[in-house]
Amino acid sequence: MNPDLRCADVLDRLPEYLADALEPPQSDEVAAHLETCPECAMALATERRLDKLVSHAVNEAAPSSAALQMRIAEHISGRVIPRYQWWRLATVAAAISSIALGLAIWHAVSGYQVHLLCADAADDHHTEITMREARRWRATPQEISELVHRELGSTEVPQNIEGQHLSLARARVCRLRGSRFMHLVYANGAREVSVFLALDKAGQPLKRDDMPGPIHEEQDLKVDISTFRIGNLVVVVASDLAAGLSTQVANELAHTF
Amino acid sequence: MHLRQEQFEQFAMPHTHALLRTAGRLCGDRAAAEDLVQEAMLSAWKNFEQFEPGTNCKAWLFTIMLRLWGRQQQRFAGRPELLVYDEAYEHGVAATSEDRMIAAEVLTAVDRLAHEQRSVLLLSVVEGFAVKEIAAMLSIPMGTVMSRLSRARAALRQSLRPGSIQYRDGGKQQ
Repeated sequence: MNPDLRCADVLDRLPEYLADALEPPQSDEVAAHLETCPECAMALATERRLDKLVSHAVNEAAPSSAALQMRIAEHISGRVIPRYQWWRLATVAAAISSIALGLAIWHAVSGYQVHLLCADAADDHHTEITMREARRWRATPQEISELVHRELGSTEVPQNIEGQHLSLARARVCRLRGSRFMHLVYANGAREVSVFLALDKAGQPLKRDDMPGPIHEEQDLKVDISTFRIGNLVVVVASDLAAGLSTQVANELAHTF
Repeated sequence: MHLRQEQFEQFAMPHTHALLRTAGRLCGDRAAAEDLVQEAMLSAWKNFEQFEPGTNCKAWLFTIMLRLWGRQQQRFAGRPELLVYDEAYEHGVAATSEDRMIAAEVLTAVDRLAHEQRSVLLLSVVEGFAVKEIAAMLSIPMGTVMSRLSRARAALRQSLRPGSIQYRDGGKQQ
């Protein structure tokens, strides 16, 4: 032990000591000082608590990676052509013939894509509605209207889903399958339903009217999902399984749009 | 399944969550974080031959992701208005109890750190990388890692209420 080691020296070296970056004999000297000096030991405990708080807070706020892992697995198994390659191929195909482009799109999107879209929607609904993770929502009618106009152009969205007594409560933009979707929340007290909307336009991975049946339904993460396509609008409805509202809401929306 | 794919799923895929956890705090936006991690993982898959089995796969993946993130920072340099913080990442934990309030306060303080300090803090404290590994990942000297870490800790101590980080005897500390 170095008897000349002062508290100021130890406090200077604490970050290195905490990060295991001190080599012997310095690390041993600091350890020996900490055993005999309550003030420095308290400073070390405070630094450790700070580390623990940071680690805990970041871990708690970390989003679920399940949907992302599925997307990556899908890419590496070759089921989907990566985005940048897709564009390259699409450009070449367009140059050859519009028929070839149509075929490329036809093959790029399959029923499996619909399943992945539903998985993403379930993940979003679960995180933002069921688990209530904080998000920046647009909540006033004017804010919602401006956002809808920006994202969906002239498409009108209903203010109410009358059959279920739900009203449009808030909106934000999210990403499903890498594409921008409008996430609208219709609510009546504690009952809340997510409605995701996107226009089928250039660059969107959802390119064809191939939903298996008029309304496709799935369940994931205890979330009920119903999805369909009407004209160039892709609609995904998600609700908690217990509420069981997605089918009725999707049916009503199919007659509204 | 091909052996290459099997090995990628065995060695690389389990680190997706850690990559997303750090990317979330670096990007401040879930969609941007997912894009960054996806790009990093696809780059890792493309160059998987360069990974030497038996070495630290997590460090290799983080190196790839941090390089991509560094390039993004350069692209956005001088255009701070494009980096919009998502509230979810600024206040990612609902404040419904004292612990949660402290966690929200800590997250806000972490997100307000300069990005050089934030990345080093996350890599050291949350991901558990050694100073030497962080220096290699970010291509900076070990002394720079330590000084950034010290400045990050000092900034956090200054931002947080004393009661939040005070050592409480008999509390949950180890």
